[in-house]
Amino acid sequence: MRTPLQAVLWELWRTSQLQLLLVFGFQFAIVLLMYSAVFDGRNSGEATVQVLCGIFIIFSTATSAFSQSWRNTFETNHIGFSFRLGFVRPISTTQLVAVPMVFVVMVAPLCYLLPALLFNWLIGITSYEHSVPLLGPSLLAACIAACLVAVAWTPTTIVGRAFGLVAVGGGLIASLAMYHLHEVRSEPLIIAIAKPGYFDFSWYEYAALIMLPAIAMCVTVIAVDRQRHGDRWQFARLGPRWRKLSIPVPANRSWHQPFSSPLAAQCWFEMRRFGVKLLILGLLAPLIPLAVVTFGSLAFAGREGAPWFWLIATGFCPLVYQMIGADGAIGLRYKQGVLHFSAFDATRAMPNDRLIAIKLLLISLCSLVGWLWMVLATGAYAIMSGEVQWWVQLGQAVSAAVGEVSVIWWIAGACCLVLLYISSTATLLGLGMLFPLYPGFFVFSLVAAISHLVLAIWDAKHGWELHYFWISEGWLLAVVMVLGSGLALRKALVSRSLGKQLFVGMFCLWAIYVSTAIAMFFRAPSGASIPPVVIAIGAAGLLVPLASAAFAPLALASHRHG
Amino acid sequence: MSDKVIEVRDLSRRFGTTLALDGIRLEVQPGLVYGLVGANGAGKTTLIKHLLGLLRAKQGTVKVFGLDPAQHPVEVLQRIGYLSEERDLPEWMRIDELMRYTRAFHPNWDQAYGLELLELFGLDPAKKVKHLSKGMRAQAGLIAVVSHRPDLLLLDEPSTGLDAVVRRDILNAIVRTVADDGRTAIFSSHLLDEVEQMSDHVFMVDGGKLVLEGSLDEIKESHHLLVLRFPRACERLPPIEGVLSAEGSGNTWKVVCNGAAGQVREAAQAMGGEVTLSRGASLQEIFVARVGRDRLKASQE
Amino acid sequence: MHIEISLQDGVPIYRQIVNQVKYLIASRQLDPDEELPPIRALAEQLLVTPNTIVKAYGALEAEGIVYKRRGAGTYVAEVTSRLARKEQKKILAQRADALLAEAKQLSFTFEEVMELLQSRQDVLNKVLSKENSDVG
Repeated sequence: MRTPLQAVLWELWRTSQLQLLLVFGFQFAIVLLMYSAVFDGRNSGEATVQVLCGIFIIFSTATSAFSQSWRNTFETNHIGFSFRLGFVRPISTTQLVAVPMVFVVMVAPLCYLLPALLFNWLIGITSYEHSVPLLGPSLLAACIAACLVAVAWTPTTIVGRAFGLVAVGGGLIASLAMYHLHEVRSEPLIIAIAKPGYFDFSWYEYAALIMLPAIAMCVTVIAVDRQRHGDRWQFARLGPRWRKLSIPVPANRSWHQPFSSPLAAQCWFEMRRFGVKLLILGLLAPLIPLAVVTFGSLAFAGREGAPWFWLIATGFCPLVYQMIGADGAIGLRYKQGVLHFSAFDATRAMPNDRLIAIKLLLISLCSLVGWLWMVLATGAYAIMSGEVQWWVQLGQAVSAAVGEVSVIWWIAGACCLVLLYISSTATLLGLGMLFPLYPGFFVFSLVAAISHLVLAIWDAKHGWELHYFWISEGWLLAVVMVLGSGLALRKALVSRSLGKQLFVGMFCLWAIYVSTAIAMFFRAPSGASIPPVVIAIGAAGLLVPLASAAFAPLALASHRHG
Repeated sequence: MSDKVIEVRDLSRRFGTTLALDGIRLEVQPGLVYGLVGANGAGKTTLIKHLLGLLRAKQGTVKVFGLDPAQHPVEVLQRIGYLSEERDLPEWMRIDELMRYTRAFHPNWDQAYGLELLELFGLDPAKKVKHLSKGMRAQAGLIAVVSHRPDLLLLDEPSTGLDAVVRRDILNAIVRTVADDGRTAIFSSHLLDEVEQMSDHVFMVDGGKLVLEGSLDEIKESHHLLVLRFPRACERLPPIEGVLSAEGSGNTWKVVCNGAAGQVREAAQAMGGEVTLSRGASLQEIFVARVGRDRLKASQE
Repeated sequence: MHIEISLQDGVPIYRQIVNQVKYLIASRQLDPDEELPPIRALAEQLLVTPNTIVKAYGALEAEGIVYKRRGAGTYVAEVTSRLARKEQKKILAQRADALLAEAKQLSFTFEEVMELLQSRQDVLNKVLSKENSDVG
């Protein structure tokens, strides 16, 4: 390496290898899956092919646009340019910023182009007339990626970053929506996007797509240059005045309120660490369906789809909060690229199972609060827009389908729901903590799962020739699940990672869950015709929620005790 | 004799291909100050992590207060005050919040002591950890660690990178901890005069092995520094039994030996040389002799 | 009580404290029945481990130089006059050692050193008598 430019390029290449491998691998796997699912053998309908093309375009463009976002590190520890070490190197700010941004602008479209070429080639083999466009989505991906990097690197405060995200994100979504409405009015996006003329831009649209990354680059260079020399934007001068306006937190008040127990202290700690952020997210979340519905109703004449959006939002938001909460609760940090479990957390005088239980409790509570708030917002919107009738009809339809159900079933169902939520959160926590320790194992499992899926789809088309293989694999899976759960439970109990109190509590909940499952199984009409291997897997799967209670503390222990 | 605070038997630990600890055996008695010295990467931090349960003992046993720290984290960690090398504290916490939070886990918290230290150090309790300088972080961490009157104070390189004032504060905290009955302090440091001044006992670690241990007075009384002068210049000092390290060139050589000063003197005189200076060796000289590059591999005992 | 610790000369710290306390008593900076600083306070002042102070005080007590008063502090003992004389002799002996070693280095014989001492003493006597006559 002889010039600073070569050095920076080499550094970029070295730090992107893993991410690029993941992105390309993932996309190729999806393309192969699509191909094996639809195009092989049978003649699928034109409409199916079109829909698949549309799905591919949207999915791949989005993946490519966000493919470089890992570089942005949307953490709150440090806000601004990511490669601050470069500030003290003998290299101009322009080079320091422009080279990574150009890299992003070049690589993001590649992340779309290569899978798209593969897709087109595969369709060409099966002699369909369709193909996915190449130029349009690539430019779009490049544009979005460049804007994201600019938003991550330019602001230096949390407020600035939030503002930037909302402004740029909103601007991009608005312009994309306007473009779509300009092109097409009546068809849904998925079908329209695959049609040949969709990505035919006029000259000013091309100009905009090229100018936008260029402008983003210039703005970022200026902002990073100011960061390098310690200058601040003018808005910061409002800072001290603004801080005086904010609520002053009296320092002496906390002296007189010691925590009543270590449990209370740890709950406060976790709340401050991630709970508050989750609550704020839950508070702002109803704005998303509101925006979508409002915008949709402005663009389209009718409002028939509106309650569906609210229903989807209400249904999915607990899962989203769960994932975001688990991510925040894990508390692993990357310092200079190396995984680090803080010694402060590790030397807390509290057993592992209690630490996990507190995290689970807070995630569940914050998700519950967020979900209730979303339900409230849905109700408020329904009342204000006069759609209450739709919800009433939905309720009647559901209760008619379910039939007469006694109170016991409702209670049992609630317990099962609680258990499943807790165990899924615990599994997420455990996986999130173990993945950085054993990445190879996880990648291998993912590859194995995808290859099984591809094989299964292929086999389904060829009349299930391999069904003995599938049956034996099924039995093997059941045995592995039982053994794994048993071992995890035993290890956790022996090493005292899982204490007796919490184990007993989980066991009671789990017992209700198992009895409910068995009761439902026997009540179901078609109980006789299910193959035994499926019953075996189902029975083994019953153990998993209990094992997850052992899994998460064990994962924490492996970080805490090396 | 009262119970041992720490008992380590045959502790070994491997990270990949590196052997970080190799058969460590040591005991820590209550009421004393122990200094842990060793070159960078010698295994000090690995040993300390085993004492805290941050590493599970895969080979050998570790007992702190008679318990395995990885198996009984609550009972052990409640009685230990630990300050890590990086002064690892949550960045978003304020100092008063840090004290309030730490207080909940240790029943012996002395609020008056904590406030006294806060005022002595001149820290603003409303300041967040991320806005503190390095020295102030060490002070804040020290307050949180010392205020609950731990039975074992464990400091990993407490003075590194700190100014003289803050260093005094830290040493003072160690003194105050040990001056109260039955409490123990272990600190690792690169500043050997601090260790020499402050320790009752010394553990010297090199390459994962415990190369020297014992009371500081005994160590100092047994190690001698001799300056030998020979009539003829020599490139390398001829091997003399009992010499740990030799430094110098030509006619004059400075050697450090352990307990065999008389023998070395006789051997040097037999070679026609004379001893021009003989005194006790300082801990720094002993350390460099045992662990540094001039040590002689032949004459290890 | 002013004590200085040096790590350079290879003498254990507790021994340095013992020697300096003896010197302070001998040079009348510590009076009989005066209280020595409490163990903890002296340890904080010198930044040494309290056990070193315990050892030092223990050694002083063993030699009869200080005594403990029912757990309420350590005090300088009365038996100081003999000690003072002994200490003072020691100090002079150190000076004499240094003089003799220096003389040997410069190749003076013992007789020449005695002559030198005698001549210096005569000079001192003259100065002292002149002072006396000036004053008187």
